[in-house]
Amino acid sequence: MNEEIDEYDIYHQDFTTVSEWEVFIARIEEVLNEWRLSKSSLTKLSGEYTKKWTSKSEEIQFQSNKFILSYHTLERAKSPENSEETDDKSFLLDLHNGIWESTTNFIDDLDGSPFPVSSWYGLKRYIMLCSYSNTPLVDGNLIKLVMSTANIAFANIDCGVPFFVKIREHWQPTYLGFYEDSEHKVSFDTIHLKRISNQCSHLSGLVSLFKSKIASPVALDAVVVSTKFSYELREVDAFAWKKRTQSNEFLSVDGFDVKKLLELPFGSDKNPIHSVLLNAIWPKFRECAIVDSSTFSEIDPLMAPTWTITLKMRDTFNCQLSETINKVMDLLDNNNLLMDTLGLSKSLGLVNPLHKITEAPITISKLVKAAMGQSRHMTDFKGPIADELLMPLLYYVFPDAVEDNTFNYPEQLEVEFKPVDGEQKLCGYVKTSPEDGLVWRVSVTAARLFDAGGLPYLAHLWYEFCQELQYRWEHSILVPGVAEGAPNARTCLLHQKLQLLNCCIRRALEGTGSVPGNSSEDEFFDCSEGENDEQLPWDRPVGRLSRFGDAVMKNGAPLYIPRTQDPAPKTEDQLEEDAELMVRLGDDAKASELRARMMSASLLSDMEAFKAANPGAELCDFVRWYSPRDWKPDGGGALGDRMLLPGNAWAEAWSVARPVPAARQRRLFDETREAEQVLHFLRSRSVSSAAELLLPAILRAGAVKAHEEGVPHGSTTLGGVDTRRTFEIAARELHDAEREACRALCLRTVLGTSEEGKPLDVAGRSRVLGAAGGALPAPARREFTLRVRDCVAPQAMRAALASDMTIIGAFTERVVCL
Amino acid sequence: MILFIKVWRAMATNRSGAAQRPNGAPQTKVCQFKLVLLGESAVGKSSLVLRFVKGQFHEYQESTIGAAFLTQTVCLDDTTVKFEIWDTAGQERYHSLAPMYYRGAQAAIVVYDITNQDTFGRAKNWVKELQRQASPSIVIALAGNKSDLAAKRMVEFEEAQAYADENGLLFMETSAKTAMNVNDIFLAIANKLPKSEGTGAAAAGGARRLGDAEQARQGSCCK
Repeated sequence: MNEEIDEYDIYHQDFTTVSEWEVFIARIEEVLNEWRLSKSSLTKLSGEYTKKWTSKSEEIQFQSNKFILSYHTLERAKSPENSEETDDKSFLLDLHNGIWESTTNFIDDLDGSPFPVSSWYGLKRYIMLCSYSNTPLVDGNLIKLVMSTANIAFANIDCGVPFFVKIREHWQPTYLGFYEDSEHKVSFDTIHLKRISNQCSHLSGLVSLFKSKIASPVALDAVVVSTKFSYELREVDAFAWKKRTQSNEFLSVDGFDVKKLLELPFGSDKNPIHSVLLNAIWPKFRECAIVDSSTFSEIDPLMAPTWTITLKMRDTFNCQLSETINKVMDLLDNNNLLMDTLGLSKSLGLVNPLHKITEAPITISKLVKAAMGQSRHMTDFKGPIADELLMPLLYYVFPDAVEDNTFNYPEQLEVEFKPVDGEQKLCGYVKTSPEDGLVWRVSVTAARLFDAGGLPYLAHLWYEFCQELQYRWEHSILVPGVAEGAPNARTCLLHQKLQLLNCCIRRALEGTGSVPGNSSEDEFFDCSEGENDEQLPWDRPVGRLSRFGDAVMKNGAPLYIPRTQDPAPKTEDQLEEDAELMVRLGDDAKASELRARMMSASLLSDMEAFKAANPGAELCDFVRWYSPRDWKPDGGGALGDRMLLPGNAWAEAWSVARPVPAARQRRLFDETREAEQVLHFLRSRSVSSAAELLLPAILRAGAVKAHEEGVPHGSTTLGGVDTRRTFEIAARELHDAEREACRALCLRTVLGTSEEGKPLDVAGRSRVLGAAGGALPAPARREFTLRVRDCVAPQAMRAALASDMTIIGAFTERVVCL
Repeated sequence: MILFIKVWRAMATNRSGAAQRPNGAPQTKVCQFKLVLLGESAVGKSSLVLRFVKGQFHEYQESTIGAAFLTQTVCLDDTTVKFEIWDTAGQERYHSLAPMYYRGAQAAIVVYDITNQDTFGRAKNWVKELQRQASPSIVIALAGNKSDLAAKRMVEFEEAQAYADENGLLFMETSAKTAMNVNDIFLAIANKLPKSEGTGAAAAGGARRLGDAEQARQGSCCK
């Protein structure tokens, strides 16, 4: 082994290798050697194999052509035992066994390897040389030259793996291959013709072609034949398939039923089957058992021992869920203001809702007007959706606005935190909102309305949605169907915004806003009378919450924890704004000071509250409570080293903090400002950003729908991509799932209990024949496999006849050296 | 095989009309991840970030107020990973703000100080909270910082390693001072994060809709 490599190294530095062709040969040899493909370094093929192919490849340049030399091999189930002796005979035997065993395959059977040759010839490993994508190997002279090169390289390194060259255009399945040892040569030939020659159009002609190719000097055994005739059944509507009608009819006022809106459509809108391919298969018969010649044929598909079915789906069939989603996805490119959509519809004689909003900020929600029974009398904006339709929709989204509780929100609005039974749902990476919560309902409704009525319908719903939120804020009515608490960044942005709005409304409900902080009581923890006596009025401690254990300040007075303000909750886009600002500020000292000031609102507020509660306090007293790891007990209390850094933000903040109890401080969380911002944010969305707000819930609702329709759970993980890309990937995943579900449905209707590609049962045969109208059309494709063992080896040839003709063969001859 | 995929990809890109790439040229994808640092105050969160982002170290690092934000990019074989780092304040008072940062994060580094057993206990609480409240797919790393102070060690390496193994955490002992394992822990996180193909063209809205040609191709090869 080592000897060989040495020899080769010497050869490589041999500067007599000068012509391009020689370099080409040398390069192929180099790669083959590197992959250790000579007979002496290869292991025997026997043993267990998995069905997985592994490949390696190298680029090789020859003249102006680029080639890719690749080696493909099936993975072994167990690592081979090296003790087995290999010789010429065992390689050839393995090869012949493979060729013989593979003759029961048909040309279009695939084995998962990158090239079909392994399936055609039963190979477990092969070498492939193919030209680079844009320059197919079509020139006859070049093909000859490349084949010679391959032959020489193969012989030089005594290669033990069949070598193939891809020739002709890329779409043509034409490969020339060979294998050699000291006594035999195996040729793998392919012929591809765009027309069928007369001689080859029937079995008897093919048999004689086969025999002439073998050119055996002695009489051959009978040739064994396998045949597959494929019939394309186009009248496939005979197969009943489940059709769903999803149309815009729910928009008609008469038959309007809001329930029809709740569901996303799913499935194809027409029969997705393009054709059914029926394969009539005769696995094995002797050449003279069935006659098939140019004038007469005994081949009758009804007599074929085996029938199998291959379904061909339409190239394009519309999946309704994907269509709905794609329409919303298309909105992502529309940067106009959503409200402009309504303003532009002058034909309806409307005021621009944007003007209305700016001119008359106090608005009355449709729902309220309905309750007051005034809607007929007031002149008001009228959108494209008729009231008879709009009201049930709004009652569906805001069910608490009406006594009738058909559509109340679930009691528990859990954001889905744990996968069910460890199984991931489709689109699990899209940020969610509580299932069947408000965001969910408004999003699905928006998608369905948009699908049915276009952008004006969507805009109108959005307008009414914003009006209702505005009303709720003004009248301190909590928004239903939204999870409790501060904005949860694991939920989608629209949900976070509504959570923030509810925080504002709750704060407003808690009182008139005079007592911010972690308590709504208007009382302060006052010190006991005795302690206060000697203190001056301006120095009276205020805003105490409790003693801090039994800790005392440096001056010996007890240390009190002050009442403090809660930090302001933020939604993810506000955090992103903070982040962006911090990045934009840059790196210098001034910037870091600004950054610290930006973040120190809460710190300053706490310091002021602390000072108010603990007159005479020093920074080290504050730090003892606030950041105990920066406090040292030395001498009654001292600051840790990093608090002593000159100019540090803590000391700065302390120096400017005045003693002000939390109750009298400027509020950290200004609910009025925050609420107005949320409302303005929603109203001023562009079409694309409104779609961005709605899509998460639409996609998640689509995924739930898909699971209801029987799509299995998946486990796609996603990471590192932006929101838009996430939507695309999710939409793609749903599209694939929907297609697959349509396909599975078709398979069930056509095949019943049988499996695709497996023999049909009797009931299946009669069902298919019935659907075809009792008689089969002319075969769309015929395939014959011929094989025989002569005195040298097994010889095999296949022919596939459709509108074009492919003949492939593996022939072994003895190499006679005289 | 890899080559073929690249060629196919290049062809697919050309078909959809996006920017042409030379055939077979290595293509790097850019992935962005939000990362949050959590842990008791004064364990060295900011120092770790400063070492990772700027390669600097200050013996006394000012105590973080609220939270700081920094970014850093690391290159893996075929991917550029951009970390958007939220460095939170460790004081208990800021605990209620932490969910705001970690809920939207794809990765978290929970830091403790190997010379202080309490900070390790606090780290365990953070891990528990993350497992309960953060995204189920969040990648959590545990960093035992100040490993240069091994003489004052109070938390044994084996103890922390066992805890990390039990909870499926990445674990390293780090030193922002000597830079030991600092880049490594971020790289380990970058390697563990799922990285999807997100093309720049898509981000700009160019190749947004699944190419119709591609869809047709997918359809026709159904059989």
